[in-house]
Amino acid sequence: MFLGGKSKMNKEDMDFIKKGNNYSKLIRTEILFTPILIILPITVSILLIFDWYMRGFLENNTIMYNGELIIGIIILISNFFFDIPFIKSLKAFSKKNN
Amino acid sequence: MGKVIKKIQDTKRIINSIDFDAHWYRRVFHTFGASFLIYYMLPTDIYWINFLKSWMPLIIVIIVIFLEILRLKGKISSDHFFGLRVYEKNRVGSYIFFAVAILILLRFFPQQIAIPCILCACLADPIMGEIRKRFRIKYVYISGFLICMLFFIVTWYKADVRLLLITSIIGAIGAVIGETKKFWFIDDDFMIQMIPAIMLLIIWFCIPYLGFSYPDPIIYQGVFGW
Repeated sequence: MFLGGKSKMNKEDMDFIKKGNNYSKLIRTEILFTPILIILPITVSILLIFDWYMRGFLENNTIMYNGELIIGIIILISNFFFDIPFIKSLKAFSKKNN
Repeated sequence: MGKVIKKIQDTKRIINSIDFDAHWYRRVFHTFGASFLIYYMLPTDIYWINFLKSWMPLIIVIIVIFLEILRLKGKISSDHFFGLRVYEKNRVGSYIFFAVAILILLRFFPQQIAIPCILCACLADPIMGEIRKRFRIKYVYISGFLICMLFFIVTWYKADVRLLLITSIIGAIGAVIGETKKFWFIDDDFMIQMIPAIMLLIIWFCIPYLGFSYPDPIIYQGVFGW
């Protein structure tokens, strides 16, 4: 009656939440992986751009290394695109539960 | 009665926030996969690096599969696996398909094929997911096709223009089919990588017969002067 329409929870979800530590366990896993999930792709993209700069730009060989530059930029931009809302959601979540 | 309503509302709020976090977590997990392109930067002429390069991806995948088997058998609780979809609670998680496809691409395909296919799964897939959430389905196909095509163009830009066009169009079509066509037995994270990869592998073998030459690699070994 209270949870009618689209937002109706199923029994499985209710049981899941009822179980003691599930919630904190899930979030702990998420927070544990966050630094790796965010830092590693950014590091790889910076390495690609750095390699383009060192071996391509400084040695006047940019044509050969332009692919590395573009792939590095694509990875960097798309990671920022998804990392920012992810970090925001994590922050909003911690605020809500503190 | 008031307490019951409040309790239900609190529970609903908690579930909604889990969904919200899991959504972005899944997206970030996808983009994280692009880190595996570091594989191509590692040199093969230094023994220990070459050893790690040869075995680490396989070891990581074996560990992940082992954990998944334990999860499916109930030895490890699914509660520890954040971001799992409800339908994945009793079947193999999509991250296993994702990891296996990346491993196959890294080990058995030339990087000109592997790199754009990995980028399609890591970047195009979550972007298409976001577009699907906000716009109509036809925009998913169009934008997905264009994004995947961009990845193939970037990777094959050293090839002959005709070959570049053939591979980027076929690769992008394969990736969009892999992402949008759902199979009950296999996850789209696997298909989005393997369908274009197999299509391009056929072209790859035909390149000499078509009168073209193989394009140079995109990522070169030996960053940091190794």
